Amino acid sequence: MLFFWCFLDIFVLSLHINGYTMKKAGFWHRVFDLYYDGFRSMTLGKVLWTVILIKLFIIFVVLKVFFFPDFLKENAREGEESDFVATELINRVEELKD
Amino acid sequence: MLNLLSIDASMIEWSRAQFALTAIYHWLFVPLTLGLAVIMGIVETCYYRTRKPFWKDAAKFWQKLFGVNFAMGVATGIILEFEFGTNWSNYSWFVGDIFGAPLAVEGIVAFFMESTFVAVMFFGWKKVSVGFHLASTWLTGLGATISAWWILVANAWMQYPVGCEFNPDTMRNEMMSFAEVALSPFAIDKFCHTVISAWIIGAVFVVAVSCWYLMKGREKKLAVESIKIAAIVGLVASVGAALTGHQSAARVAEVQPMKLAAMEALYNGGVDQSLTGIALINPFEQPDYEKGEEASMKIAVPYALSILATNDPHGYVPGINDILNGYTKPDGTVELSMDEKIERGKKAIEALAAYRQAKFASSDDGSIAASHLKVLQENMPYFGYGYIRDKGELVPFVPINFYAFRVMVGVGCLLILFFMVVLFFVYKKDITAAPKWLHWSAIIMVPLAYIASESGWLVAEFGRQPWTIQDMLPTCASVSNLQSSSVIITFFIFLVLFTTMLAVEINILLKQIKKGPEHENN
Repeated sequence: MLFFWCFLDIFVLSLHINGYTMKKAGFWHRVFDLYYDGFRSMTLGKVLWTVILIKLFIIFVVLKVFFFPDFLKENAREGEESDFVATELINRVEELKD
Repeated sequence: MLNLLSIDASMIEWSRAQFALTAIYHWLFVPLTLGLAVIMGIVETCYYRTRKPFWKDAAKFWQKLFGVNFAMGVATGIILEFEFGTNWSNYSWFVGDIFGAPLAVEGIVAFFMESTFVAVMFFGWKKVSVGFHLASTWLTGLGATISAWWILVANAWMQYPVGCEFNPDTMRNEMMSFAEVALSPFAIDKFCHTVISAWIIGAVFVVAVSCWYLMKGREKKLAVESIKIAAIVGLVASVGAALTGHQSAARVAEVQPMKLAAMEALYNGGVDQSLTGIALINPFEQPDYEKGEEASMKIAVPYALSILATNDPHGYVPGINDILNGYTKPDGTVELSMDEKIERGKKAIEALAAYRQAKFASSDDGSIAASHLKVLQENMPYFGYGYIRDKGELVPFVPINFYAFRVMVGVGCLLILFFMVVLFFVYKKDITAAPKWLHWSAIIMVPLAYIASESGWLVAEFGRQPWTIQDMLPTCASVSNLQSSSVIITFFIFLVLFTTMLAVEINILLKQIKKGPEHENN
C-alpha cells in the first residue's frame, strides 16, 4: 500500500512537471527540482517550517520520551501483555468497590 | 509490581480532561483545513476556467492561509495517540486492531496523499500544468477529508462497536468485518455531519476575512468574489449540517438513547415528545431526574423530539428513568434495566476470570473452559456494565449535554440566517457599502462557529459517558493504573504549550491577513 502510494505519487508527478528547462532532465531530477526550488524560494514557509520543527521536537523528543512512555511496555513482560491487561480488567472490579 | 488496589479516581478525571484538552485543541485546526480546502479549490477552479490572473492571486492567498493553519495543526493529533498508550493502556489493548487499522490507513493516506499534493500546490505553480495544479489542490482537500473519514470511523466504532468479536485469550477485540467497521451507519452519519460542519467554519472564516478587508476599504474585488463563493458554500453546508444533524440524532436515538435523553434533559419519555427549545437547568449539578420534574421556564416545540428521533410525530422516545429501569420498544423488544445489565456484566467478568484460570490449568481437559466461555459470550454485550457500581453512573452529566446541544443548534440556525443575509447583500445590494454591523457580525461569527463546532464534539463525547467503548468498556476500566500527579503535570504542560502554539498561529495568520494577497500577476 505504502509503496503503491509512493509510486503513484511520483509517477503522476513526473507526467505533469513541464518546466521548459526541465524537459530534458531526468525523472528524479525533475521531482528533486520541484522540492529544491520550492524549499529554496520559501518566505513564509521558512517560518512555518521552523514552527513545525520546534513542535515536532517538543512532541517526539520531550513529550514522548519523558512524559508518555508506553505503559504496557514498561509494566508488562514482553509477550505477556494480554495477561497483564486481563489481570487489570478482572481486578479493577474489586478496586472500584473500595 | 503495581498496587492494583490503588486506582486513583481523580486520575480518571485528569486523564479525561487531558484527552479533552488535546482533542479540543486539535479540532481548532481540522475544520478550518477541511473548510478552506473546499473554498480554495473552488477559487482555483475559477482560475482554471477563466485564466484570469485575479483568480490565481485569490487562490494563492487562500492557499497561504490554508498553509498556515495546516502547518500549525500538523502532528497535534499524534499527542492523542501518546495518551492512548500511556493513560489508556487497557483501552488501547482491548480495542486491538479495530482502532489500529483505520488509524494506519489514515496515517498512510495523510502522509503520502496530503504531503505530496500539498507540495505540488505550494511549489508547483510554475512547475506543473494548470490542470494538474488544480487537481493537486482538490486532492489536498480530498486527502484531508479521507483522513477525517478514518479518524471518524475509529470514533464511531467506540460509540457503536460493530464488526468485531472479543477474544478472551488475547484480551483483544478482533475485526470480523472491515467493511462493517469502515461503513458503519454511525460512521457515515458522523462523517457527513462533521465534515459538512467543517465547511461552515471555512466559509465563515473566508467571509470574515473578506469583510475585514471591506471595513478597511482594501482588496475589494478579492473580498466580494470570495464572499460570493464562501457564502454559498456556507449556506449549503449549514443546511446540510442541519439535515445530517437530524440523521445523526435519529441514529443516536437508536443506538445511544441515553445520550439523546441527556441532550434533551428528558427524564420520563413517551410518545408525542416535544423538543425543548430552551429551559433553565442548573449548569453545575446533575438534576434530580428520578423525581421526573420538568425543567423550569421550558419552551418546547410539540412533537419535534419524536420527529427528530424517530421521523414520526407520535414516535416513542425513552427518557433517563425509562432507560435506567428498562422499557419496551415500539417493536415489542424489551430493553433490560440497568440493574439487570450490571448483573450480566458482572457475570461476564467472572466468566472471563474463570475461563482464563481454567484455560491455563493443567487439570482441565477443555470442557470447564468451554463452559465459562459460553457464559462469557452470552453476557459479553454487557461486559462493561460489570464495572458500574451504581446505575446513576450510567447517566451522563445532563447540563453539559443539554446546553452544548442548544448552543450547537442555536448557532447553526444563526449561521443559516447570517449566510442568507450576506448572500442578499452580495447579490442584490452592494456588500462593499453594507452597514458596518454586517461586517462586524461576520467577524463575530468566527468564534461563534468554533464554539458551535466544539459544542457538537462535547455532545458526542460527554453524551456517551461513562463509556470509552459503548457498553463494553467504561472509562474507569480503560484507564492505566498511574499516579494522577503525572497526568496533572502533563495536563498543565499541554495547557501552556497549546496556548503558546495557538497564540503563535493566530499571530502568523493575522499578519498574513494584514499583508493581504500578492498581486504578482496584475
